[in-house]
Amino acid sequence: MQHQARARSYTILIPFAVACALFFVAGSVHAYTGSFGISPTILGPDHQTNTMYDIDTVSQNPQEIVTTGLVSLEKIIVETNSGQTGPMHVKEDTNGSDPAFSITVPQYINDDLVQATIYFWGPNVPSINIYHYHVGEPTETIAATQYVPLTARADGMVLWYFQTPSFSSFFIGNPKPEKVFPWIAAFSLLTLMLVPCVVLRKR
Amino acid sequence: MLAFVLVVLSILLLAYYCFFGFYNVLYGFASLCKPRIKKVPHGNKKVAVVIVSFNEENVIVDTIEQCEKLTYPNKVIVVGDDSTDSRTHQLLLEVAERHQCHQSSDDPNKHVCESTSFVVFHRHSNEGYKAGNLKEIETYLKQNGFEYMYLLDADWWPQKDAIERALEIIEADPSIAFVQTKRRSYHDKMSFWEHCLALNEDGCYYVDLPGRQKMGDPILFTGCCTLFRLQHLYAAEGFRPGHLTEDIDLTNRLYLLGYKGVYAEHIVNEGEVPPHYPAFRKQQERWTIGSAHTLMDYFWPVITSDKLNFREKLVQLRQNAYFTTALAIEFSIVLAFIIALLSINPESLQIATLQYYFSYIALPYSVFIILALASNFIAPLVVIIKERSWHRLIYLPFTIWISWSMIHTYFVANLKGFLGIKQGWHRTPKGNRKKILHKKKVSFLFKLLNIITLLMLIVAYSIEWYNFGIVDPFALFWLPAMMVGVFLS
Repeated sequence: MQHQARARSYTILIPFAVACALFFVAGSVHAYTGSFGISPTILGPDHQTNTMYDIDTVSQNPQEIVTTGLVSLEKIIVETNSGQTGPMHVKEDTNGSDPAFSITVPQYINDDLVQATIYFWGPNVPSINIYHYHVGEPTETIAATQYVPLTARADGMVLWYFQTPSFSSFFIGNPKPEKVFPWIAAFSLLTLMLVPCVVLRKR
Repeated sequence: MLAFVLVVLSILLLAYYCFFGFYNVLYGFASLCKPRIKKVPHGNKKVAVVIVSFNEENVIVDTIEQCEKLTYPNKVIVVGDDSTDSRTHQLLLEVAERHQCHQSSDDPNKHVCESTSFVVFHRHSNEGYKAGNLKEIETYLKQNGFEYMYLLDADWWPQKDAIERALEIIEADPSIAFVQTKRRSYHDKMSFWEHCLALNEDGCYYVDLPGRQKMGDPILFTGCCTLFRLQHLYAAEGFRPGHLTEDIDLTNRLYLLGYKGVYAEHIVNEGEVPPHYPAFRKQQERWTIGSAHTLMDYFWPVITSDKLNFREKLVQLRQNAYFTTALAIEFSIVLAFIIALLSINPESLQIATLQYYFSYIALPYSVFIILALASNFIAPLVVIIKERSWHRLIYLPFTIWISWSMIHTYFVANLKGFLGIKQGWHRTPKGNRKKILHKKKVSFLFKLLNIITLLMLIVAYSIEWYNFGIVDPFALFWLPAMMVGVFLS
């Protein structure tokens, strides 16, 4: 009888096991290196690298910054109205066929920016559109120009450039993919939240 | 600058968690090895089996009957009763009558009945709480020439030869002040809740204490199921009336005098766990406040002690500071919420800088976070492995959720403890073996705190998902834990 009662009490845990399994399948937890409640997010899967360079248009304006060590970016030429100094963070997404990167500078540099010319490695195709994202503003499309003379890397990628009056996120070739709400993970979590309340209330 | 401060604080917090996590891992592995404990044939010294009681009408008589079955011949059962209800004292007088006790005190503040095998103390108030009760008994034991005391709470049933087995250890080394025996939270009618809590509490007796014993680290007297050498107890000035965690307090004083404790895993006592969430919450609150007092009282004495070596000092500090991890976790939550709010704007320079700093330490930081998190599971897992009770795996996540749901209780209790806010004694209701239903006292304050935290966490996880495209695995722990806190507190 006791075993039967125990077995009956365990049936309520089936949703728990299913929810756990679904969460791990649907939750893209593999890409995560941070944690909430214990530590902040380190790097989300949107960007895999974060490199810092020094902007110094006091010494040289426009300033050429060679972005050594990056996969899709080659160099950035920064031109400001007056001389400015400060950090420039380049976050790069090296996954997938379409490169993406975001460039973050202090607000005063962005405000003072005349233009930036960004050189990047892209596929050898007739034309490439750059999708420029700013929070709270409509997406801007910029046509990239192939560098002349044609310069190619060993992997077949060729050098392109485009000009922008402000820094933020840039997606090359295709617009930023729409985020799909993680319904399965959300329902799994909800189930996990409800199961202990039901089970632990039983006496 | 803000990003740098956030990174430094995060690293410091991680180091703090790792300090505690290290001991979880160390003792987890060490507890799998059998320690060598020196034993000698025991003598026939007079032993007092002391049971402390405070309104324990549901369990006290059963516990006395279990103590009567102890096989050690030269024992006297001594019950220290502070009950304020009418029933418990009456029940004890009936037991006293069965033992042909006679009244032996003219003190108007207490009622004492004694015979050669049984003594009942009844104080009319619970002054000084459990430690006040024990202080009274301590004086009696000293006057009557007892050498040892086997201390029990009102719901703990010792194995029949517990005294003989503990005596052969304590008599083997004169520096041993106490032998702490195993407490196993088990009976055959346990509810799901009790199973979860039992797994939680068993961790101390299957993992932490055996690990300490194996490693030669200081042992904790855990409040009951302990054989004391009274001579050393008197030297340490005994129990301190009014202390909420008289056990940790006494352990510190004994070790500071150079005495030591031994943990005997093979001597088993069976007892109960708090019957419901509010009772568990109150118990944890009391332990946390008491631990905060102990940490303040003994921080410098432990640091400057010439009786403890460096390793022993660390273990004592870890013991005294155990519940302060809740302060760090609350701080982490606030810190992480600030970061989540900053990351609402993904173009924020602060977030970019923060991520840049973290990118340097991403791998070791992630590894240590995972290890610190995993260390939470070690104790219950080792309990399951040692008992080979694989069905208990199902209770494991619930055990973690229950513990994590207590975060605000621990936090508030730490504040009360460190700020010296006065707190009374909360008796943990007993009677689970008889399936007695106990009244639950709901705490609306903690319900509200948990609701707010739950909503904050949902917002923060949503921001994380929206900006970083990930579902945070820590949601698996925090969201169900907060739901438990909301529904059960």
